[in-house]
Amino acid sequence: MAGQYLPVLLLVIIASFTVGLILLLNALLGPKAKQRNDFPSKYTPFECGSDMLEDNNKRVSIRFYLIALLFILFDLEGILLYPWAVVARSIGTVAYIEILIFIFFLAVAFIYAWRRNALEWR
Amino acid sequence: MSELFFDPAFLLGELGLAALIVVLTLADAFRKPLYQLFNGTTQLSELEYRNRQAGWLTGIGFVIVAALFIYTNKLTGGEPAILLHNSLKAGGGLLIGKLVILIAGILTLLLSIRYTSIESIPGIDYYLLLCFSLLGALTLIAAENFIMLFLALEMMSIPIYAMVGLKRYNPRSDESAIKYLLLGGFSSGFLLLGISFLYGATGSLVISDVLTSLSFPTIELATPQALFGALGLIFLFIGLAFKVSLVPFHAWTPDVYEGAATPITAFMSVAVKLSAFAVILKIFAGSTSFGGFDSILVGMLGFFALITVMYGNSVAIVQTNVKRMLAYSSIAHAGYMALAIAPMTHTVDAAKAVLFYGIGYVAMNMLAFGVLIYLTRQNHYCETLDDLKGVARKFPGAAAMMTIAMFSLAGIPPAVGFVGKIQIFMQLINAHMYITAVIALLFSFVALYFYINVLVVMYMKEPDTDKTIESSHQFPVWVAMAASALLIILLGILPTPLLNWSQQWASILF
Amino acid sequence: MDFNIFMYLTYGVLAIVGALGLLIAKHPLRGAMGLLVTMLALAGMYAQLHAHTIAVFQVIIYAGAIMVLIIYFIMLLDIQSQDYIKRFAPLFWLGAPVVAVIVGIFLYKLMQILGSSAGVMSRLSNAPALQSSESYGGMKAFSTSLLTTYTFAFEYVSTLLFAAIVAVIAIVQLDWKGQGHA
Repeated sequence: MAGQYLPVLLLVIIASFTVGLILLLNALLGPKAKQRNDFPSKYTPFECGSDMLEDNNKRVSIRFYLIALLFILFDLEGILLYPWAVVARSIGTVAYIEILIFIFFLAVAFIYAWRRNALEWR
Repeated sequence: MSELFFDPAFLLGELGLAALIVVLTLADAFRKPLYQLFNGTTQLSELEYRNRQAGWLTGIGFVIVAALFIYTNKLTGGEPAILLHNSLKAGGGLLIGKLVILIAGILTLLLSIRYTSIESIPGIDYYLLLCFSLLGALTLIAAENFIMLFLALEMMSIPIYAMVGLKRYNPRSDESAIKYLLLGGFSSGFLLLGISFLYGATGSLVISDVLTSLSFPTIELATPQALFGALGLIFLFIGLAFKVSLVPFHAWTPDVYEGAATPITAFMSVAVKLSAFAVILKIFAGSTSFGGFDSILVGMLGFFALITVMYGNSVAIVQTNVKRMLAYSSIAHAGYMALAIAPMTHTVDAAKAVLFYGIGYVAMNMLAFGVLIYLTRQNHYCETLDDLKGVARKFPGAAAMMTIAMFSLAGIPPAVGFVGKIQIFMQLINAHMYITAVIALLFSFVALYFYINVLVVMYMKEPDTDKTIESSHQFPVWVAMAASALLIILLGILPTPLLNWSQQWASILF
Repeated sequence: MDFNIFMYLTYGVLAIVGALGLLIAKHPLRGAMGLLVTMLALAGMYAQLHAHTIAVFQVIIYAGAIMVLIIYFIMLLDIQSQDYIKRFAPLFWLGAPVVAVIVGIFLYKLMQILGSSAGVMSRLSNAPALQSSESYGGMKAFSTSLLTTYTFAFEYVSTLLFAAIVAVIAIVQLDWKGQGHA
C-alpha cells in the first residue's frame, strides 16, 4: 500500500535536492558578505531584477474577502463531486438523483450570490 | 420502532422548510416582475418591498411547515421511525419538539418585522438565515448519528454567527459576532474531539450504538476504551455546554446577547438552548446507564449546574442593562435545567422536567424580549433600566406583559415557570440531593430581586423623558406577546397537556 | 520498530512541532507556515492509517484551499500593528499550567493503563487501523459509503454550504445602504 505514495516521496526528494543544490551552489560560488550592509540586495525578496516598489507588508483591499470566502465554499462543493464521480456508475440511478439534489442547492446558492451582486467587483 | 431507508412522509416539515429556503432565494433573486406587479398599489421603495416580500413569504412558509408537521403526525400514525441508515429519527413525540422550535421561529419572525426595518437590517438575509438556523435545530434534535449531530449543530450555529453581526453599523454587534464565532468554533472543536474519542473507543458513529457499547465497569476507568470513552463524553459535554452557556463556558453569553439584534437574542436564548438541551438529554440522560462513570458525571453535572445557578443569579443583580440581565438570567435558567439531570437517574421523568422547563422558557423569554422590542424606537434602544422608568404610565399593556414575563421567570405561581421549577426540584428531592436543592432554591429567591426590580422601575419610577413610540407596524409584536402571555398563564394553570407533550418528547429520547 | 509505526510517530511529532510553531511565531505568515506543516503531517498520518481519501482531501482542501484563505486573510490584516507581535495575554500564564496539569494527568493515566512504553509499542503495532486491508480507506470504499450510508449527510452538507454562503454575503451586506444607529 505504501508503494502508492512512491511518486510523492520521489517528488519530495527531487524538490529538496533541487532547492538544497541551489542553496549550496549559492553559498559556494556567491560573494561572502562580512556584514549586513555589504550587499543590501541580499536582504530583499529577489536578489536580482528591479528593486521593490514598496513594502509588501501592507494591507490588501477588503474586497478580496468576499471573493476568497465564496471561492472556498464553492471549492468545497466542487471537491465533494470527486467521490460521486468515482462511484456514479457502480451505484447507478440513486447516485444520479443524489448529485442532482446536491447540485440543485449549489445552483440556488450560486443564483443567490449572483443576484446579490456578490460576484461583481466593486 | 421501525427502521426505514427513506419515507418522505416522515420528513415533510423539513422538506417544506428546505423548499421555503429555495423559494425565498429565488423570489428575491427574480423580484423585478413581482415588484412591478405589487408596486401599483403600495408605492414602496424596492428595498422596503424586498423586506416585506421576504417577511410575508417566511411567515406563510412557517405556517405551512407547522401544518406539515401536524399532517406528518396523522400520516405516520404517531409512530417514530429511524430513517436513512441511522441518520435521523422522525415522527412520534419528536414532532412536539419540532413544533415547539418552529413556534419559537414564528414568534421570532413576528418580533423581527418591525425591528429589522428600524435597524435597516437586510430582510432577505435575515429571514433566510433564520430558516437555515431553524432547519439546523430541527435536524439537531432528530440526529441519530454523530455526523448528523455535528452537521446539524453547525447548521444551527453558522447562521446565528452571521445574524448576531447583522447590525453592521453597530460596533457592539460586530464585537459580539466575532466573539460568538471564535468561541463557537472553539466549542465545535471540543465537540469534534469528543466525537472522535467516542468513535475511537467504540468504533461506531451511531449514537445509540456508542452509548450501549460504552462500558465503564468500575469508577477507575481501567481500560483505554473506558478512558477515551469518558474523555469523549466530557468533551462532548463541554461542546454542548457552550451552546447552552453553563458556567465555565458562559463567558460569551452576556456580550453576545447584548450586542445582537434583540429578536435574535430571543431566538438564541430559547431555540438554540432548547435543542442543545435535547441533545444533552439524549446522550447523557438517556436510557443507557454509564455504570461507574455515572458517579463522576453526577459530580461534574451537579457542580457545573449549581455554580451556573449561583453565578447567573448573583451577577444578574448588578446589571443595569435589561438585555444583559436577561442574559445572566438565561445562564441561571440553563443551570436549573441542568440540575434536573444532575442526579443521572436516567429516567424519563428527569428528561421530562428539563423539556417542560425548556418549553415554558420559550414562552417567557420571548415575552420578555418582545416587550423590549415593542419599546424600541427609531434611534433609541430600550435596553437599560433607565429606559424602562415609568413605562407603566405610558404603555400599561407592555408593562403588564413584562409583569407576566418576570413573574414566570422568577417562578411565581400561577405562571408556567413555577410548575417548571417544581418539576426540577422534585427531581433533586427524589434523588436525595437536598443540599443542592436548598442552595438552588435560595438562589431563586435571590433572583426574585432583579426580576421584581424591573417591575419596580416600570411601575414606581417617574418617567424622566417624554417617551413616544411609533404605533405603526406594532401588530405582529402584539400578536407574539399576547400568544406568549396566554401560553404562560394557561400552561401555568393547566400544566397537564404540556406535561403530556414533554413526556412524549422525552420518551422518544430513550 | 515497524516502518509504519515509525512514520506514524514521525508525522505525529511533526504535527506537534508545526502547531507549536503556529503558537510561537511572531510574524503571522510564519505562523501560517507552521499550520501548513501541521496540516501536511496530518495528511501523512491519515495515509498511514489507510484513510487515503481523507489524506488526499486534507492536502487539497486544507493544505491547498484553506491555507490560501488564511494567507489571504493575513494580507487583509495590518500585520505591522503591535497587536500581532504581542503573543500571549497575561492570563495565558494562568491558564497554561492548568491545561498542562490536565494533559499531564491524562497522559499519566493513559500510560498507567497501557503499561510500560514497550507495552505501548506492542499495542500500536497491533492497532487495527495500522493493519487495515487494502480496500479500507480508498476512494472507492469512501465514496460508496458516502453516497449510500451517509446520503443524508452528503445532501445536508450542500444545504450547510448554502447557509455559509448566505451568511458570508449577509455579513458584507452588499446592496444595503443601511445606517442603523450605533
